[in-house]
Amino acid sequence: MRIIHTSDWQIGKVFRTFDREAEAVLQSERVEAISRIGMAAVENGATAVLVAGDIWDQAHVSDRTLSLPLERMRLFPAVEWHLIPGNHDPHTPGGPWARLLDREVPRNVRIHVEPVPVPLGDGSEAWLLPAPLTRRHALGDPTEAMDGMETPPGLLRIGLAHGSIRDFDSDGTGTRNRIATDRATTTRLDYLALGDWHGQVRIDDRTWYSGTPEADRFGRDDVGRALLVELSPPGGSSIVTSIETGRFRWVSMEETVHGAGDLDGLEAALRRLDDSPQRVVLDLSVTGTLSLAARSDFDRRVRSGVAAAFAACRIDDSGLAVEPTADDLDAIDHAGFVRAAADRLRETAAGPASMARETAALALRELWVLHAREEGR
Amino acid sequence: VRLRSLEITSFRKFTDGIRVSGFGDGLNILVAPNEYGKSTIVAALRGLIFEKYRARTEAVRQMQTLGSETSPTLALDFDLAGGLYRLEKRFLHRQPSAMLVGPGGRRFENDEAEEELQRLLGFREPGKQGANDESRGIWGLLWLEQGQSFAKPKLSETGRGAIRECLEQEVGALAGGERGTRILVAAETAIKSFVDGRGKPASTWKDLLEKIAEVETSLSGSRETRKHLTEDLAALDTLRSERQALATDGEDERLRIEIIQLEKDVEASKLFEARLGEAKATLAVQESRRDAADKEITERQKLEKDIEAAGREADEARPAFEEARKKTIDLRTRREAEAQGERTLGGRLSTLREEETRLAQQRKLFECRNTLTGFQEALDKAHVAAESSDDLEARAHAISVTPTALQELKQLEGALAKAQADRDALATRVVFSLEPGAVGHINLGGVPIAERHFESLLTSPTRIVIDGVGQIEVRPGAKDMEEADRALHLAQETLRDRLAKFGVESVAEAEGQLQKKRDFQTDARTAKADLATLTRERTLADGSRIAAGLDALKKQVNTLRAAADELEAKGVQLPASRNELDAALSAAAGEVRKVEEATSLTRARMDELASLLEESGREEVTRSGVVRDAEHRAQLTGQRLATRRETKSDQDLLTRRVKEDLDRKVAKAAVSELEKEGAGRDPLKTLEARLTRLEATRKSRQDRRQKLDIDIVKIETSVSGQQGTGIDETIERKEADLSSLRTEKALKERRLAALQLLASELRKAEAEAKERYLAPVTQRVQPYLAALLPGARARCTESLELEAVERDGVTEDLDILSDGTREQIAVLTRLAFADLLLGSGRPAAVILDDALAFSDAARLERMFDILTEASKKVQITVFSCRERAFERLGANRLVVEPFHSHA
Repeated sequence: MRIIHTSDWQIGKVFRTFDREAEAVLQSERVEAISRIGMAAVENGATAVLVAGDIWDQAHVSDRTLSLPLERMRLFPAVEWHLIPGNHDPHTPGGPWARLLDREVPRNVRIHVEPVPVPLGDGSEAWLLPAPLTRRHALGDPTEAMDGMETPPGLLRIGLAHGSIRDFDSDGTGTRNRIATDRATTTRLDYLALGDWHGQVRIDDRTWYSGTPEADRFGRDDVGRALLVELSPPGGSSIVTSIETGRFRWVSMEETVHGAGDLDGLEAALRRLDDSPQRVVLDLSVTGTLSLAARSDFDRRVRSGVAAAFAACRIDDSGLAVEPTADDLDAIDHAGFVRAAADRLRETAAGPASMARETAALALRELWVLHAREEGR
Repeated sequence: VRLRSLEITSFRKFTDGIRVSGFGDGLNILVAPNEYGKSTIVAALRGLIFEKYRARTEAVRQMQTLGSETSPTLALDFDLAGGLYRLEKRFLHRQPSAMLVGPGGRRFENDEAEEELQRLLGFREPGKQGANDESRGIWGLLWLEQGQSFAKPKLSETGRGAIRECLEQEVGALAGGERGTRILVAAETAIKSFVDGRGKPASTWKDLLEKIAEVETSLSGSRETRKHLTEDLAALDTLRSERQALATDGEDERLRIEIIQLEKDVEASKLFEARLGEAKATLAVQESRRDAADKEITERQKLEKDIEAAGREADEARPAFEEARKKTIDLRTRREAEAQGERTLGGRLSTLREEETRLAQQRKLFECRNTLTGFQEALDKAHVAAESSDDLEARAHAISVTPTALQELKQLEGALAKAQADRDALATRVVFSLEPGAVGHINLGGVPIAERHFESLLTSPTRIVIDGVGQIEVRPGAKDMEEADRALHLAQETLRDRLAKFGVESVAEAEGQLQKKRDFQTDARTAKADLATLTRERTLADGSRIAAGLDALKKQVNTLRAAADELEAKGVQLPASRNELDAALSAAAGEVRKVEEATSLTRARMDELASLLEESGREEVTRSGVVRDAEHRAQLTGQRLATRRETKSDQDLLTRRVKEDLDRKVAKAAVSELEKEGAGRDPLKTLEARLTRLEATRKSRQDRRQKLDIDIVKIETSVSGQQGTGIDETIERKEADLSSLRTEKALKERRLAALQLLASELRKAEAEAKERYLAPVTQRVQPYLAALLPGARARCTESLELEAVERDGVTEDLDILSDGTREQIAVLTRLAFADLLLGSGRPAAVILDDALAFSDAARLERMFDILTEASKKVQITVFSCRERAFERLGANRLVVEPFHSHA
């Protein structure tokens, strides 16, 4: 029997780092990922998709956001989609699940809001042991109830849960909804499909985090994924295969530039980054020192230039200092009061780090822009 | 350049030609009254130098004397760079000409002369319209026309060019100028897109701030909505659980069964209570019957006792009543006896009082008559005194001479005597000593002389006629005679008039009249004093008072007479003697006193008896009441007892009492039995209360279910309205928007700060550059300015105009200074420019036409000092109409003299 294991779709997620346009693209692609999962199930002969929580990013979503994933799943009638609430969308009064219980969902979509075992498919091969979350931060182990869940003997027992199995997050939030590491063993599970962590992780042969199907943060440098699980008969070991479902690669890049010459290298590096830069979400951090002229070039070539090649791009140039050169200043004027003002600003900008220094550096850049505009007259 | 002499011919008012000479190297002055032609001289100088000789412009045509067609001819001698020059021009001539002769006899004619002159003095060829400020260049500024001196010194472009050349020669060019200014303007424009001139947010920046505020408000609204939604959902959950519990806890069924049972119990309990009640009622009836019999027996016993007590009480009270009645009768008898005595005494007293009255009237009549006699006498005398006093006063009043009048008359008499003496002293005395036979034959002034010895004082020409002889006319010669005569006559007339006024013939008579008046007045006063004594205030024997005055006295006399007449009319007779009357009166009074005393004693006794009688009467009534009351009571009580016995005899009563007690015991036993039976069961009230409570509980649960259903629907409706909007998404969205807006704001703030810093630095640098550039101008103005306004500093614009002065850290724009100060500063600036030009080796000279008109004396002194100092370097020529004011300038005076051109 083959199933697809996925989780953390986080439909409706808001991306604060980017502008509305980029955000719309990123949001839309998360919904597209559902179609890619459905297609993977069809292509690989999987009859069921287990979604281990966090289908939605928030508890109170709009009707449209609530319907978006359901309508996508409806497009794959041969696949049975099993959903449980996670910590982002726990089953609370008035939450998404409560709302779904009050309406009709596609026939191929099964929602599990009670920790009660249910047959998978026609129940002839496997039973599902769901561990739905009823609050954002449950103190206990949501999978503990699985211990008492009896299933017909000789059939596969598959757990579906959402929570952390160890402290993934340094801020300590991972300590909640904590799942026992050996739950699969103690509860005689043939496979425990977990959700919560956005990267794909194998805990043991029978316990996996599928990761999110579409990347949503920097730091992993990987596309979104799901798992294709080929279940062996009870007691045997399953074959777990990672499949790509994501479109965007979230890449962080740190570069240092000193002088106009380094700008060529930077631009080249950015252009080399990916054959399909339109599939890259870039976080570029630039440090170093540039002349006024080069700084202006940087803005023109990188910020207004190559950045447009990427799906979305965030540039942090706060570490990029401006150091006006003699040529910069001569370009502004050889003498005269504008030059005198420029000299004075440069002096402040070269002083010890302070607000005044930052302001003076920025003032020089403004002067450069105004000067360039004058030159262009 | 230094002017030396100017020749003017046929120029405006100077038809005959004048020469202005005597120019010194330094300070020169021409002082002359208005209309003298000072401004014409300045105009001639300007025309000569700056207008082209061939020109026929309006300005040139105005050089002609009004209404003439002569050719204005002008000539100027001047020093330049150590050489002497002569310039001559003839305008509006058939052959207009110009000639410039330089050192060493170098001679330029016509256009060449014009060109050389322009080159030497540094001005431009005038255009077709003639010379103007542009063509004159710096000279337009240095040579001031009348009325221009207090205008802000305004450089023409050419003038400014000249000064700039000087400045660049000294400090180099002003760099960065226009392009730098454009950059500054661009920075300021960029700032204006953030904040307006007053630092308030503008345009997009304002929009951003407003947008942030809007999103903040909206976000907090959304958070509030989510809070409410969360609360609603929690409440809904609780309500649903409660509703669920109400439906499933089985309590309703339990209540139903319990209530049915209770209803049965209540019915049973009610039946039992009815039985018990009935038994208790029977017992109560029996008890009340027995009690009624007991009560009747007790009451009859009490009535018997009461009858006995009342009889006893009446018997005991009777003796005291009898005694009281006897005492009353006795007292009445005694009181009657005393009343008879009192009546007898009353008759006696009445007789005595009548006698006493008669005697008193006699006495009153006696006294009236007696007093009347005295008063009548005084009244008669008073009448006489009053008449006499009035008569005397009238007489005194009739005499009009007063002491003052007498004194005046005496003075007039003295004056007359003096006038008489004065006239007599001047008169001619004629003394006749006649022979006896001559008497009657001589006539003096028409009056025959009848005596042998006769003297006459003649005051006027008088004829002496001697019969048979002829006549002699005597003419008194004294020249003042007429005057003395008139004086005498006036004195006589005056005295006569005054005497006539007082009604007397002579002064002596007036004196006698005055004495008479005084005597009358003295007598009148005496008579008045007598009258006052006679009619003084009096106190009569009876203590009554008679007021002072004749009328009061008269009234009293009349009153007394009327009283006496009245008494006599009543038949009262005047007694024979006063003593007898007094004795009779005294005896009658003594008898009256005695009878009054006896009467008083009798009355006291009667009062005592009356009081005793009243007391005794009361006692009698009281005693009789006691007896009667007791008797009546015994009778009434006896009747009541009899009535009761008629209804039921005492024996019947006792029999019935025994039967009723037996019945009561039976009823009581029945009640006790029932009470024993009911001890084990709940009282009806308890059961009913429980039933009420349980029914209320059931009702309350029903109400609660209904209310829960309503509440649930209400919240469900509210929640379902909000759920579809996706409040979490909305909040996330708004938080993201707010964060991005805030980031944008921070960036813009940094950019604004940078732009502001840039603009500020540019302005600072520009100001410093300007200051450096303008330093030569300000440096030259400064010493003069400091001399004029100590402590003040000059500030020039880039266009080389002095725009303001700074004093004590305060910048004052030139426009706001007084006319006087503005004019003085305008002069200083011109001196500074002249300084600057000379410093660069260019020609300069200053002409001030009627300048410093607005300066006060102190300022004028300072300006004179400044002009004197400046004139060490540059020739200054001042034209003024104020001779005295400019006397202290100490300048070299120009000479203006007639001049005849060789032409």
